[in-house]
Amino acid sequence: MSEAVTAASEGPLLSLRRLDELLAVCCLLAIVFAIAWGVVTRYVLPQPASWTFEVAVMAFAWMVFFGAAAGVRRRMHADIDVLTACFSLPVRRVIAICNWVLLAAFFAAMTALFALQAVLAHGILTVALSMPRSVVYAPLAIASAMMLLQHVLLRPWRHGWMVQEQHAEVPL
Amino acid sequence: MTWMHLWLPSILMLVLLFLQTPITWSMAIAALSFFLLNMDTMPLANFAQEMAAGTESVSLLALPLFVLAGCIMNASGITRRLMNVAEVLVGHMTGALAQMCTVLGTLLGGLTASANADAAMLAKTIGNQMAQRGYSRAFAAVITSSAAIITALIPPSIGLIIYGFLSETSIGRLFAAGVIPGLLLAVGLMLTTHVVARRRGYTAQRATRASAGVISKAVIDGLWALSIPVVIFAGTRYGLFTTTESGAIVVLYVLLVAVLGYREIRMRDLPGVLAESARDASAVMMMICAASAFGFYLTWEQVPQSMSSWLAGAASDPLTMLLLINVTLILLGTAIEGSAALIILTPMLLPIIDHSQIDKVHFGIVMITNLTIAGITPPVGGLMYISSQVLRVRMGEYAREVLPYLAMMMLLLVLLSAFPGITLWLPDLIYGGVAVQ
Repeated sequence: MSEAVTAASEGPLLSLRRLDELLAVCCLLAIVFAIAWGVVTRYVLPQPASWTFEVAVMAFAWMVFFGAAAGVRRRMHADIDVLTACFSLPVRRVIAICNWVLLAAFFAAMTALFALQAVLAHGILTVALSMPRSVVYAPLAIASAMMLLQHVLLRPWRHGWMVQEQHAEVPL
Repeated sequence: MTWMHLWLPSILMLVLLFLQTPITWSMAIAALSFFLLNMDTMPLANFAQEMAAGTESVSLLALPLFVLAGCIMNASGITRRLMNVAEVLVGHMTGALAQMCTVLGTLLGGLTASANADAAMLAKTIGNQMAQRGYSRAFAAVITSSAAIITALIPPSIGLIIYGFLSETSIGRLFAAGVIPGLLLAVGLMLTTHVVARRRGYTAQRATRASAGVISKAVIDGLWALSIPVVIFAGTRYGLFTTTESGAIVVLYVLLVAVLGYREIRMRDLPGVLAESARDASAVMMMICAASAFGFYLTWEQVPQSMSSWLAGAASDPLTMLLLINVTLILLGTAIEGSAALIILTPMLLPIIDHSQIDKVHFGIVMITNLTIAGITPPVGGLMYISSQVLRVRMGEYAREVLPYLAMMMLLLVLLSAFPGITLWLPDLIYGGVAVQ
């Protein structure tokens, strides 16, 4: 598994470097508020708020993608190193370079496809708020672009592609 | 439909997985390859739509909410209070610290939703104490990671929420179904610990049992936290809110308890707690989004149906089928991380379950138990990694110590598979035939 970067080295949440996390936190708070408000209005107001689940689901999608961008920066996405651990250092370095290029291409493709989907879904309206569905997809395109940016900013070549010598028995 | 259309995405995913591409992106890239292969029949932008579809579920909204509630609880001094409860309950037993670890794992299971978070918490607190008091470090790593497995069964549980979403099964019923297997696992762990501790001379914490007064005081001190599962079950049983809504209610409840009740959380801690929750929930959810896109390919190419008809020929009765699936899951679990295996395999196994007429709630508990046990099996065990890393234990030492616990858990797995009543009795009692999302 990749080693996650510690929070202490990342600085405060209110910083440009952690913008993805800040946006994810705002979305998380929006989910809590929207769902709780839905319950409250059901018992307190004569007409329960109809928009709460729609807002919560929208905020949920944004939270996942912005949070995933933070996950790219902190290398939180789990991987399986059982097989690669058996390879020699140069082979592991080649695999790491291929993985980095593949992921960069994938994040770029994801950005383009979410942007395209945002354009295509502009004419479709959401049920409760009657907003164009682009509102759902456009932030996901931005989040995907942030994943690409964070992936590039990792600059793994500075640390020899983060490939280290393995011991005979893995020290945990 | 060519051979390439049918199998290339699956083969690509396996190759990427074993070449250390992160699991989430391996699935997503494999799914994208399917959409690229089928560009002539469906728009490529559908890939984006299918990825986003993973988040368009009301039942999955419960996941970040229960993760947040657990993070707030962990930051609010609740573990110390629950440790007191565990100490007064089992401090007089042989191998008291290890027994306390199991009881604490059970109590935490009712508050937090993540077994990984609990393994880290148990290893840092009670695991280090065990090492200082002369317990073997490897034994401490084994008991802290094993006790965290209980979290996956006692509600709220991330695994049960994900399975409920993927299999379109009532999450309320799944939550109720996990309680008795979770408690049985706790009893099994305590019995195994008793045998190991006696042989090694691990002592008790206190000479005599705690008095009723001392126990009551400790329980009352931890009552706010201990009442959370009751809030969930009572609220959903009496129709006050859905399971998803109970997540938001629990967040507000624990926030009130943490700020006004226990008063150990500081305002400046909150951004960190929120960020941790958002990151943890996103990491799991992104995997589900990728699985959603990959699932589209599986459904389109009818891969689960092919597997189902193939496996249906191998076993005719439900129990044999369950045991066959269990063996497959155990083997896969040694190589693939539990939540990834759950997300990848659930859609594939469901047609088989339906065909064999196995109850989906029963199967969910068996599958979650099986895959969480995989968390303590080398070489790829998430819980094993966390506990061993905190306690600085080598994989070889861990593998030797974990054997009696694994044997006990395999026995439990066979019992759960053979007797559906163990899992289905409580949901039937609480909800009757009503499905609760």
